[in-house]
Amino acid sequence: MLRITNLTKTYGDKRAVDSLSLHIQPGEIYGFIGHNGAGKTTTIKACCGILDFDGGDIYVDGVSVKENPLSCKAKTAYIPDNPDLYDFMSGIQYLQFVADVFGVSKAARQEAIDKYADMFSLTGDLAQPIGSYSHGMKQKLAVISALLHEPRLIIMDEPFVGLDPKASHILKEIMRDICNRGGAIFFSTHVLEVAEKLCDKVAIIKDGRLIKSGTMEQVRGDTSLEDVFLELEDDNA
Amino acid sequence: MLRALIKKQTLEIMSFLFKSGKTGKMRSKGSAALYALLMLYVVGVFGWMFWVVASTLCAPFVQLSLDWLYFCVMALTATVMGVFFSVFATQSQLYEAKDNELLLSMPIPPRMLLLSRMLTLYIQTFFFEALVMVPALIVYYPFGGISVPGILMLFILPFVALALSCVLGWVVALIVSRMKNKSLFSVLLSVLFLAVYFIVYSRINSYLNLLLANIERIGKNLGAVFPLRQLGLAFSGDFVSMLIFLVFTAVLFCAVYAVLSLSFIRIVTAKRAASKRRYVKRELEVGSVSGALLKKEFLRYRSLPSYIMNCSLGSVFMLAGAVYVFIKGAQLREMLVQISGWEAYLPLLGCAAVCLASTMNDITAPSVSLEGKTLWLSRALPVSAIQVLSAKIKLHLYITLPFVLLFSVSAVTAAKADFLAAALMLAVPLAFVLFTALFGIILNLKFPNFTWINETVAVKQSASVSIALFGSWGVIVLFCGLFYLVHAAVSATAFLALTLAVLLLVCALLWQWIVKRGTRIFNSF
Repeated sequence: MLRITNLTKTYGDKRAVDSLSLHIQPGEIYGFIGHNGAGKTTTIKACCGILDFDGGDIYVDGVSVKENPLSCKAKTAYIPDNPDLYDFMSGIQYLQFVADVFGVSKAARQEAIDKYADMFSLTGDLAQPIGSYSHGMKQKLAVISALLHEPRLIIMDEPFVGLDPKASHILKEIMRDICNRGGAIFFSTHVLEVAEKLCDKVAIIKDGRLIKSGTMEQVRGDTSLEDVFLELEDDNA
Repeated sequence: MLRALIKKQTLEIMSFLFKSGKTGKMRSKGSAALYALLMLYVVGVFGWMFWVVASTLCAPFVQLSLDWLYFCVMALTATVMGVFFSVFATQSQLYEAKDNELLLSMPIPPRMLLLSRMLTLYIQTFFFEALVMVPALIVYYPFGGISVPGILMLFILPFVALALSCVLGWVVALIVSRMKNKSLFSVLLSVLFLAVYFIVYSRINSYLNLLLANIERIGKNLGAVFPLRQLGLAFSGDFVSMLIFLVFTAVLFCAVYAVLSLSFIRIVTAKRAASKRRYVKRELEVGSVSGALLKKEFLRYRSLPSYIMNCSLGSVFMLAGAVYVFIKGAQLREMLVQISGWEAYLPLLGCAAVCLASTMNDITAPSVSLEGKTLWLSRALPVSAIQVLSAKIKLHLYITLPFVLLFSVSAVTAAKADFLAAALMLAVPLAFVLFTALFGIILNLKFPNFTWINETVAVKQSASVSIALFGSWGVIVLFCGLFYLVHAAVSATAFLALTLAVLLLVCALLWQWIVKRGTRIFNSF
């Protein structure tokens, strides 16, 4: 579903991502872990076609993000860590905008908006301007908008930040449901307990380089993900 | 703490001069010099305007030994101008600044935050008032010299305008915070201010004559108002009057500061308590991608009074122009025809007037910058850069073209142009608007600013907006100059046809640039 091969991105002299290779297959929830500034957001933005990269390539369903970004974006949904949405729109105007851009049919958007807005208890607030939303409400709206076109791949950067416990629980269920239907999720998180419970596979990145990846069992072994992460951080210090 | 706050505020306001909005790094010397030249030009235009007013008034007042009244009139003008230009800056920088909450969360007393913002606004108000009072002092120099109290008063007077604009800005912010359609209110208020400004400006000569005809009576009336007399006397060199006016100013400023300090947090947070609209499930409509992008641009435009006022004032001018020419067209034509040989130039003059008014619409010029922190959305969604940029161009055209057509039709009727000239009078302004739309977006791609805290910065303090406006004027002047050179050999109609061909060719080249280079630049942001 998502294949990253030798991805390299530099900012001036600094290599933010260095020959990173990952393969996220259909049905997988893939966690992406690393310290602040490790290169997670850079990798994620490159996968979404937001950020150009210097070396390697990224494929969504076999299509190169570099060669055919629009086709890849049409199959993908991206939820950023800080949902800066269009404050001048109301919630429903924003959802309609996204649905129009993705060419979602009338019936499908009606059903999806009603369903997810109810699930996230946002229906009553959809007429309000986004500028008046709290961070959590914006995050919920970003999640709903990401689900409108039934993406096969969802890429998320710290998706649980700002969500209340109920919304976090719902999002986790939705993530699992998407994977059960053949989709895939690639997301970064600092909450190792969430990654441990939710992810099928995990990758740990440090200073732009992949230092460990595999199934949760392979990475974790008999210890916890937190122990492994801290140990790897110390080893590579 | 106060110094740090003032430094932050000054940096934010002045950052457009020294820092690139795109990279956040210092601008090159060439770019900074260009900004400095633009600022000098604006200062020069306003300074010259008030120099003329001061020159008209000074000698008659001095001859009647009413030096104080001359300064009083000029200072009142300066104060009105200071309040006029500062009231919206006060509203946006004092009460609606986006970093209010961030700073209030820090261990900063609200009164300190308020004071830092007021002092930064003082610098802006000082600048506006200096445009009036510096020429006034220079014009007075041959008659009575320049005194120390006069120079000190330059720094004291802006506190009065600042206090008044803070109160007015507070009233505006208070009303706006309780309104549902805040943008509409702000725009209407701005138009009202502008209408007053233009009425005063257009009748300035008759007001000056009225003033000169009634000097003594006005002197008697104003002299009865103690602070005004002290104000005039202080500027003309009376040290005691300066001290009295200083005390008066200090009391006024401190009183306003004290009152605002008490209610600052309430005003800043009041806007959060706007009435809530509940969403009721309804049948949703389906639209196209281009329609969705255009709607997005329109919603952004509608939500920003500063965007509407600064970048689409031309529509108001063109509407007013169309109505005026429709009513007074015959008289106007008669007046122009009386000037020898001008009858043949009427189509050209009409065209130039419409084009000039249309330059006040610079909707595309800040449109890329206004994406700000939401730029990621345009990049993450499956839309191409050219689709995004086209939507911005379309908005410019849709908001400008109907008014251009209206004004053009009115001008065609007044000019009594023949069929070919009439067609060209309609076509040239349309092509010119297309040119300004494309020119604006190119400028914004070259000079973007994504680091603004308040949209006003992207709209008002943007290089692309200034260059788009002055550059468009330059193009009109260039064509007029060309016609002046060739008018003996080329008829006005032929020149209009030539202008149309050149404009269309330039538009085609600009469009090609946007498609090839512009999209690459947009994707690199």
